Amino acid sequence: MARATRAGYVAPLLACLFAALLGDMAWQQYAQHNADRAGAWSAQRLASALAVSPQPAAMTTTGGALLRVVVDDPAPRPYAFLPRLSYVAHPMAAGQALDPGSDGDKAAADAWSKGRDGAFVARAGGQWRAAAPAGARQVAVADVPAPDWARVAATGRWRLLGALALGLTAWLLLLWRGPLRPWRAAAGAGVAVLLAEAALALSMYDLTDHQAHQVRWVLGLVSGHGPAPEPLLPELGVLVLAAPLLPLVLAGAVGWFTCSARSPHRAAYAYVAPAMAGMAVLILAPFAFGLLLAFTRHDHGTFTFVGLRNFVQILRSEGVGFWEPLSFYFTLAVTVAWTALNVILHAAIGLALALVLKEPTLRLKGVYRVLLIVPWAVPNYITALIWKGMFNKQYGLINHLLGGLGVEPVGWFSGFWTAFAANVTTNTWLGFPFMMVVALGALQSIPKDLYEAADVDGASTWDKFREITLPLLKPAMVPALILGSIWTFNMFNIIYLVSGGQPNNSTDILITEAYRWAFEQDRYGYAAAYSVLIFLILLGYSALTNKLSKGAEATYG
Amino acid sequence: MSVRRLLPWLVLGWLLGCSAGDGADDRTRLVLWHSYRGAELAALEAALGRYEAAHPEVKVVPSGIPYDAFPNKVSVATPRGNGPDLFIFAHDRVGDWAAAGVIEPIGFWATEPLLDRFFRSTLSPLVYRGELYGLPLAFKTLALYRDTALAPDAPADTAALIAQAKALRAEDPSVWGLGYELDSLYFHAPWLHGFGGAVYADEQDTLALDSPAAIRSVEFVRGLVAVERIVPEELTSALVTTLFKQRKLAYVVSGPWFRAELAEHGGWAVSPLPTVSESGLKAKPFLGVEGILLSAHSKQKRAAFDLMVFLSQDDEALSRLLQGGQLVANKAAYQDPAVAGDAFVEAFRDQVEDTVSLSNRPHMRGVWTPMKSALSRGIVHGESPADALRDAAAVIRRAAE
Repeated sequence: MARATRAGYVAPLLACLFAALLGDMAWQQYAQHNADRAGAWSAQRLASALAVSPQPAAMTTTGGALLRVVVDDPAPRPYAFLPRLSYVAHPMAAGQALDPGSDGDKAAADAWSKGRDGAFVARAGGQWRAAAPAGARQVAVADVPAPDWARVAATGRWRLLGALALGLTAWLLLLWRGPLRPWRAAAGAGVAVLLAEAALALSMYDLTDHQAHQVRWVLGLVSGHGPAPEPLLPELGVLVLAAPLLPLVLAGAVGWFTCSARSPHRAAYAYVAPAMAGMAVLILAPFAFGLLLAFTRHDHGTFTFVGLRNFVQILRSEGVGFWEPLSFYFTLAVTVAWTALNVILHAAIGLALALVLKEPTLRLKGVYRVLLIVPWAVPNYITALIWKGMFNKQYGLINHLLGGLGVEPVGWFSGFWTAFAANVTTNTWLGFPFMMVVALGALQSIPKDLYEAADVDGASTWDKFREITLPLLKPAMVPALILGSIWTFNMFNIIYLVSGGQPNNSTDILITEAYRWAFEQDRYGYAAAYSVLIFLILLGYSALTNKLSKGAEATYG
Repeated sequence: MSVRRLLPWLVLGWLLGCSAGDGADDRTRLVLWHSYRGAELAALEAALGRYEAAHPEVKVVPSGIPYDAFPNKVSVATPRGNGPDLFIFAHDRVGDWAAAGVIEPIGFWATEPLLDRFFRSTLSPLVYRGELYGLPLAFKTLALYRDTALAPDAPADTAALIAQAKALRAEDPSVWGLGYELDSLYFHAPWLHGFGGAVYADEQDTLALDSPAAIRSVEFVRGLVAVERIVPEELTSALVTTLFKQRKLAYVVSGPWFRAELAEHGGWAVSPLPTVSESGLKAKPFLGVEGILLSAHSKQKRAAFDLMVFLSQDDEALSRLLQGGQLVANKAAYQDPAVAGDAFVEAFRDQVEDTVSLSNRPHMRGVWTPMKSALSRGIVHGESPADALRDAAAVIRRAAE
């Protein structure tokens, strides 16, 4: 395995260099990007100063230009939104007339992005000329100097190289301490890249106020009440996220190729490949996309990389009290209570019904079994809507029945506990058949002679249930319970359709909350961060239960 | 397979691709996206046929896109150059699209005589930050439906409506006075505006949903539910339809779509919403407009604008009204003898003058859910309207940051 081991050392080194190259490219692009928008960016800062500036008719600018044309127009106009400004300038020959109706001049007007109050902001530097239309009262062009982005880019490169040198040193120090296994070497390289990134981020603090603010904002150090900074390049964000993983991926790939070349299982890989490709396209790709989204903010269709901002906001429950609806912790508590209560009820009712159905003396067993599976067979959103109707205050069946007992109509969705109870009732109705079917199957596989032997030993019915039935049900029921709790944890339909989160979003669970952020508030990044947290919780939960049920298998397996 | 064996196929494919490209005609090709179906689609296709006959140099390619997928498809496809030249959609995304540079302001070409064709109120939904972004084709708003057996006359103000409803309730307690979805801001808006309130106080997205006027409007509806007891509490749109058809509901606030639900049902009429007695202001519902919008990435904007103008002509609007059953935005269409006398159409035409444009700002989409919660707290659950509205406003402000 010497070749593989060597690959484990070389690959992270290559990955580091590759990441450095990519990082440098991204940095250059970032600087270029900023240079492109510098005109508009600084011009906006000058907009207020311009209102009182002198009015040259034409001038040469370096960074960009700001033009303001106000036309005297005393007559009241029926359509205030029709442009008051007749036209604006574009690089054009002196004395050339503008034709307001033509496509060409529309395009010329578009070369300037319109600000408010009739100010036109040039998008790039160059020679700009303003031609005032007839009746113009005021024409102003302001010069906007461009920041020296070339210099910023150059210092950026030195900073990047310095940071990478730091990372590499850290990695070499790690190697110094003795031979490492390839995977740990790769992981060490990942940490080194992370370190380099952190150093770079810190070194950017002094660049400009603006960028320092940007960096702090991305790290979640500034609370989110101020104006958001200009977006960082999304590519840069992806790179920052991906770079620490790069050594691992590369080491894995190199190791895999060197090993599989001699592997006796090459054919097996080939057989699995189509399924793996399907998984990659249908599961891994959307998952990775969702993960990336969690580090972005959405604004009018553009996604901005914001680092850990969304997670910080969620976990600090910014803007709402720690224990109010819409706070992550409150919703998590509701979700956990909802899951636990449902799973307990499903399992208890399902098991009880299975025991009854197993009774040999029971007649019409087939009919009962079919009837009890019906709630499961009906699409769950239909059931949810029927139950919602039944919980209606004025026309619902449940209040009608309660009215027969002399109870005043209950507003089921007016209080937290009644709304929660309505949700749990509906989901219990939907959930018990599954547990019943699983328990029934498991019950039938318990050998009868165990019970006969127990009878001979003089065991009571309860003893037999506790000592034989329950332990032998466990291998079948535990996976069903885990599955059931994960389903219930993410049971979107019932919450959304029955209580709809009423009252005041308090009965929402995490997944409906995430849905609301995404599709009702358009905060896709925030919602993706919610989903990532849900995923982590469920991952932890299944890891824990896996461990516990392995222990159980060892005992009863 | 080696490259050499693939080569002839590649060459063949390339040749085929070239010959297919040569066969295309040289007419200006305008792609138009819409989400029309049924009668509306037939009316649109007929109009496009007329346009092509009058302009042989233009070929219009209409393409139906499902309504739900429409906005995202436009937002994604247009900036990459795969979008349409023109598209027809509800105005509430105009703000997003304008901010993202997806749609083109048309103020440069639009003239006052052109805009005089439309009801003034139907233009403002298409204006975002002082720029006009499209021409209105049709509108949707709310009006007051009534059961003519229970309530023969349209009420002039809310006092008359309440008195009428209470008299009916006293006669038969299973009959309700007024019904609509209490927790929806869309249906609450007439009262909000009728008390002098608004969603936004100004152009700068300053939220006014916790203003005294807004609080009074919620208190008013709470009074209808809890004091006058003329409005049932937990109404869904399906329940409204059922009760109205069973003649258990005297008045319903709903839009033109409610007519389709009442297809076989007679004995009803529509009138504009009443004046709010307490304030003396008209109860103004939200106005939604379906506009034709011009893509900022279109390669032939001038030709596309001509088609926009054609589709919004008075005679085209009349045929959409008669053939497609749309409530069109052109004033002249309602003066046609074929339309005059249709009480349903006239009620909505009268209502359109007293509406408030449903805001097209991107932040507006974040308003609905928190307000649903606030209205259900203040009206249905009897909590303090001021608290409920203040909480909702806080949530909306936070999400808008």
